[in-house]
Amino acid sequence: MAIEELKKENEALPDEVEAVAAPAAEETEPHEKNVRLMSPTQMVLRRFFRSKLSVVGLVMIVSLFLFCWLGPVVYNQWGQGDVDETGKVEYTYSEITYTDENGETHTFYQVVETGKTVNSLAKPDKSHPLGTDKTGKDVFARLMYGGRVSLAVSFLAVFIITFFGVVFGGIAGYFGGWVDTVIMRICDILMCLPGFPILLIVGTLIDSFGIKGQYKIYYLMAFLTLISWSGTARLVRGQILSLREQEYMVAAEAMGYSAARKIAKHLIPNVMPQLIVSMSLSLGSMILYEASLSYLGLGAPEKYAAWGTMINIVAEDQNILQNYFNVWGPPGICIILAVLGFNFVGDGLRDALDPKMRR
Amino acid sequence: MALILKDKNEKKKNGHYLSGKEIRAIAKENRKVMNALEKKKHRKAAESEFTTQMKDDANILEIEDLHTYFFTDQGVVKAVNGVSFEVPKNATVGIVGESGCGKSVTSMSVMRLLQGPQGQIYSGSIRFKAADYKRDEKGNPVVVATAADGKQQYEIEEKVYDIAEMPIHEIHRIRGRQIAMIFQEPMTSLNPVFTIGEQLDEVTFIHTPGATKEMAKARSLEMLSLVGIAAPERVYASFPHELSGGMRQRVMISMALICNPRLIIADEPTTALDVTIQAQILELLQDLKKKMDGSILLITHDLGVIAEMADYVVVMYAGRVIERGTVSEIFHDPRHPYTIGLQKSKPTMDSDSDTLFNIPGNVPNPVNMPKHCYFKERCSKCTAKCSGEYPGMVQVSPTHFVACHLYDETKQGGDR
Amino acid sequence: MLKYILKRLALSLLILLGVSLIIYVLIRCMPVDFIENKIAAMNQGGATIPEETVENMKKLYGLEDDSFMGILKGYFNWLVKLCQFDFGTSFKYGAPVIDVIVSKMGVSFAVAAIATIFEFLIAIPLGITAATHQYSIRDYLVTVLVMIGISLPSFFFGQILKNVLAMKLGWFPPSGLIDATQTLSGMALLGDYVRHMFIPILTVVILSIGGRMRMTRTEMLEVLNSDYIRTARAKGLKERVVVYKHAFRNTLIPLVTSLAGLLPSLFSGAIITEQVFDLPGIGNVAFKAMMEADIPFIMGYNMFLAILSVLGVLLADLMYAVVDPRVKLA
Repeated sequence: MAIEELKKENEALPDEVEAVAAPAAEETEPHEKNVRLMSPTQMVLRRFFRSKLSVVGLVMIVSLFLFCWLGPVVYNQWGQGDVDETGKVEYTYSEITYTDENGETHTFYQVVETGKTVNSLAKPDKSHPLGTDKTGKDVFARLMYGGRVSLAVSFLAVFIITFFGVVFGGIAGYFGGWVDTVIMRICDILMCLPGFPILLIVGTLIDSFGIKGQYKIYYLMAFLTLISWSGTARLVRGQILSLREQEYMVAAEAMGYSAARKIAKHLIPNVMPQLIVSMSLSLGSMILYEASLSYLGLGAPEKYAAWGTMINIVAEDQNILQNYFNVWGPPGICIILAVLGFNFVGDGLRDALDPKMRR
Repeated sequence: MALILKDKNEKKKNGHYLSGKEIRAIAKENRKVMNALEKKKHRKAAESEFTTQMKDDANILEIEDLHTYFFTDQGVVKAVNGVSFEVPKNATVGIVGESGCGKSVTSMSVMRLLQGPQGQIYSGSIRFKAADYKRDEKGNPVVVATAADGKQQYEIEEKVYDIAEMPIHEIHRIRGRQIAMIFQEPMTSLNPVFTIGEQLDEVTFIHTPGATKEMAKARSLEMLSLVGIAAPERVYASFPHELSGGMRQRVMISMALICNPRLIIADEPTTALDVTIQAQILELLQDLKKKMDGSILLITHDLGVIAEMADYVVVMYAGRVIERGTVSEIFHDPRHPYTIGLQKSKPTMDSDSDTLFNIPGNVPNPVNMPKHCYFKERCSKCTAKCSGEYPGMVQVSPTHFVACHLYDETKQGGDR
Repeated sequence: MLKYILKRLALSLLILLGVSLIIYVLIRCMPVDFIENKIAAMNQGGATIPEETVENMKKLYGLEDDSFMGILKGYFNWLVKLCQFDFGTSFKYGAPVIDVIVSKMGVSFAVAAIATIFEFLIAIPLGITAATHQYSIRDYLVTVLVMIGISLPSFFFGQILKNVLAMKLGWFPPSGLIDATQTLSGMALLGDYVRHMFIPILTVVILSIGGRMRMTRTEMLEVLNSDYIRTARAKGLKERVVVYKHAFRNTLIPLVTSLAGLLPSLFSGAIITEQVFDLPGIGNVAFKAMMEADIPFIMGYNMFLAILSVLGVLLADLMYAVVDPRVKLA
């Protein structure tokens, strides 16, 4: 049964294969001229988009960026530090007892409006799509502003790390000798530095200098970039070293190409794919780093939103942890989406750009 | 986005690139065909579905109209496009052609070692006469006699399998036991983390029911000394990286010999070795050819190797057989312009000219092959007919066939 | 071999020297009055830090002398003490730093070790299936799940597990290491430990499976494409044997090597996870110490981590030579 079906399919197949082939060559022209292939860019794009995951990742990242930067323009009734004071009106009353001339006592209540209170921990409704937090700030708005900080800081950090890595790795690989040794030993030392605990020290240090809270996270991430470039540097150096062994580099040498030309024509195109992949993957880990630091209270003060800070609240307040997922859930989900998006894209890029991963 | 736009411009300029629409169409079709073929490859099938009969009982391997395709993003690469030839019992058949002509893919198809899901046997048959254990209904080998030490003897029967139709999980009946393969790259073809002994013994363990450790080791050592290794015990205990390239190729050959296969496929066995070692390995193969009771399918681009080793020659070009015959027919009476060109491009000591002859042009791109003869654009004897259909096989002698329009009349006339 | 190890050890010492310098400089950047304020705050908060401890600390790090020579002298004094395994006395715990680290290490080690075992046991089979069924639905499914695992922030995921498993369902205690309301011993105490450590371990395992599985998959794919796997198939081996014997044995090399590299994480404690579940592990203790500027402890802890990671790198190299017959140390 099954085999007959397959045989039938087999018979049907040849036509299909012919149909797939691009339009046949015109007889008048030499055949070779009519062969149509994919351009290298097309090949990379094809491999990237073959994986649905990379597309999903790309969509996630783009929509997060739109959400964080365009969101506040559209949804502008609350800022990140605005407190909703439309909570229920509070009153104080005092009893006034008054005895009239007949000896009857009348009791009055004097009601005084003492002011509006903070609309804290409101459930999601029309004016607050995700409710408000403990201090009456709109969660939805803070989500957007917090995302700006997380995404911007991570991007900046990754670019700086890559810059340092390329410069130091490039110098080490290109010049070799004692320069190489010194830079590589520095890399060894940086790799053995305990990253997170060191950042905690730096956090304390920043406190001791009395730097304003909202800038703390920038200083911290700046320090992180200073100690994180060793991985990229090794990658670049390794690439240069293996490149120097390649025959075409020897050929370029023999042709008398200048160093600049060799770097521009051979080095950069060879290192770029791996750099792009490592950048997109480290973007995810930078977002996690930033969020963790904020969570531990090393980030901006509560007034300024950051995804990690927004979750921090549950560490002290069991009530919020149990009953107000709308306060601490959304920032967590945003972090996951961002990191996941960058990881998906990075993975897709690796499959697309790394010749070894080709099917 | 910018990248895509750039591509559109490029395409407008020279029209050599596929459009996004075409790429998607190719991918969709590929997926459809590949899934159907993969399903076929992994199906459950009764033995009767892939047992068949040989056309000529003197042959051990008959390949008929074999099509092996690679479904790539750029289109279907017809690496083997209707190849037919046979390997007679106890004969050496050489396949010769330039790189990329499909000779290795043909051998990989016989071993069913194509990298799925892109590489697939699309159609055709590979009939192979195997000497397999006779099996009872449960699939266990039938025992003929049991020796005093518990060793069992099994009944052997000849069966003809169509390898192209075999489900992939049945293929271990063929591989190693019936057909063994020697690869081009001895340096990377041995597993670096196992000793030579472990890798050799394994072959005995897989294919001999009830083999003991001692039996396997004895057999491995015997084979190692057969391939001319002076200190088999030492090599047996070494790791592959401790051996030289020539040694490793000897080990590969001994591995192929362990189960007394009926056919050995040697895929460019000497290409990766340096010249002196090449000579030694060839000598070894020739020596073994005399000693062993089986056929060799030798794949090479080296005409000298073919002339020395082969009884029959198959010349391949761009996925097709263009000429085949006995070794003397091909070397002394080549018919196809390509074969003639190949012969001429071989350097000889006694020729007067100081420049080497070369065939102009390149092998056509494997995607979108033309309808006419693939050699047309490089051929010096082109006629008007050559722009027509691809030439059929013409028989010029009982054993000599050629695919070229030059000899079309001979077919009709019957003599030449 | 011995020569190689000695050379590597010398290099490790050099690295440790560099690390210690960086840590010392960072601490020295702190203004002295800031430290004094912190100590005062600690004393107000009920702690009693004897004057002489503070003086000892100042002497230990050479904090009084701010001249260049003073800093240099301070650094070398500290280094000499370090070589005598004297890491100073913690302000917060009033005990030698080493003693504090050792006493808190057990919990962290238990969590990390159990988590690592489960991580390998789960991730390796997943990685292999994903590789052998590349681009199949199974591959996608495993990859997606694993990627989500990598992308989870530990504090967020930990809180969710705590909320669901401990608070809502009440299956496990939400935090701490022992049940303070009961006095348990023997098996009952062990059971209590296990109940308390379950969610933290689960968190760590789920977060770390992803990386390990991706590593297995990548390595496996590379091995499966190699020539010797083709040879193994050509021998007539069944696919199962090809994958689990020939391919897996090669994939194991980087996996085992990476196991050695995990050494620091076994002892260093997971700061955030321990924080979320309030486990009295070394990570939690270190975090609290850092928040309160307990300088001797911070420096001791960081040096401890650095020594561990240097040892980890060294061990990974040695392991490589053990598992891969091709590698000869020279």
